[in-house]
Amino acid sequence: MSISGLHVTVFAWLAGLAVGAAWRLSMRAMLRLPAPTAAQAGGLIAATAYAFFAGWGVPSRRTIWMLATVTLLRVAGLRWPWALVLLVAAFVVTLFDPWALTQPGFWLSFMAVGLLMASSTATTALSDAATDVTTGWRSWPARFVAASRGGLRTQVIATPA
Amino acid sequence: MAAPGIGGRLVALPLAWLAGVALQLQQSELWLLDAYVLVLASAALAVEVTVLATRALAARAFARRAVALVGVVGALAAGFAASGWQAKLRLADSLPSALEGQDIVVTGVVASLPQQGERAALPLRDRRRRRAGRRSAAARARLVRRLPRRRRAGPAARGAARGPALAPHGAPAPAARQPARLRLRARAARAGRSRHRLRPRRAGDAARHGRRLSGRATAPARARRDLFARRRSSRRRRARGARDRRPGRGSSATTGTCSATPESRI
Repeated sequence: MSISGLHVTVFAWLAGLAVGAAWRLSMRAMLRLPAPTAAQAGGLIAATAYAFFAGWGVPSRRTIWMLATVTLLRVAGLRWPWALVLLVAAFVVTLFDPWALTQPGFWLSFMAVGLLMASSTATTALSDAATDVTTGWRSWPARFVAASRGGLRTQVIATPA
Repeated sequence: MAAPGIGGRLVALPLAWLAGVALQLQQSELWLLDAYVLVLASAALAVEVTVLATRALAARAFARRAVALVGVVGALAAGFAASGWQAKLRLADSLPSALEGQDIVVTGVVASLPQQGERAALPLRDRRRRRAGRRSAAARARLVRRLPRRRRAGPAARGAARGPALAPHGAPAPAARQPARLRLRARAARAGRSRHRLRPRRAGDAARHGRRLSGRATAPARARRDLFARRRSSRRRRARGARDRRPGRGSSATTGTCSATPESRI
């Protein structure tokens, strides 16, 4: 079975959701550490464990370094431009594995993520505007359309990359 | 929270690092380890000076640009030196190229070997002997009698008959399996040869002697041919033996062999 960066990222996302939901059950835990921070840290830890079990291959390793960089930046409260976040992740990856630059997967994955990040700013504003018009259950169709549009956009960008 | 302008300007530093790494990957021959360490220390100093001077010279635009340039060059040098250092350390594990194609003698200690236990995989003969060890002498004799006639003198029958000689489960391992100092002869890997090639004959011998071989056993074309040839010759031998056992056929085989000599053909 081949474990790619996508699997690790999806696992981190699901684990983060689970940890965040569990964290919100305890008032004391939330007072000690905010739930989003705990969810991010939990997702990173779970993804690292998953990558270890998957054999700690190059794609999983690269994904873990990227996730760790983004998590650290968010936990520290830094909002850097997306290009800088991507470049810092590339710096961390090459710090531990300089030969990653010679692999096509490195360039393909960074290009895909860069394109997604670059195109996300405009569409996020559009979808926010669409969902803010109505509230409650009436907003569900608008949310569904926004989510479908986001998924389609991701697929369109990721397919050629 | 950092201002967006600072983040935008910081983009140059990781870019310079990546450029330095890419530059080092183009090196056909690595430098000495000390050279990389020296470059890395100089680069760290340059980046440190950049950070300190950027705060001190915030008002002067020209000085700020000059300091930023120093920082970019420092990041490039740091990427170059760090990746070169890693490559040097990685290559330090390999044998010198002068040993290519030569036989070398390696002396080492086998720290541990698979021990016999409840769940350990035992060779076939040991399993037979262990099963037989739980039976009475009469049952063991019956087991030997149940074997085909031609196998009654073979290792299976010996193993079945010598059941109690084997140590019971949980007993200390035999002395031969204790840690020992061995002398091995190793040959440097050559291109085009599989490192884990294992001939079926050797694997069979090892299994008969109760040893376990690790590694991937591939069956290259030649080894497969040998195996088929051995099976063919074994079948022929058995067929010839059966023919010879028939009454009146023992001497004719010898005669047939003699008749194939050049003199007889003339």
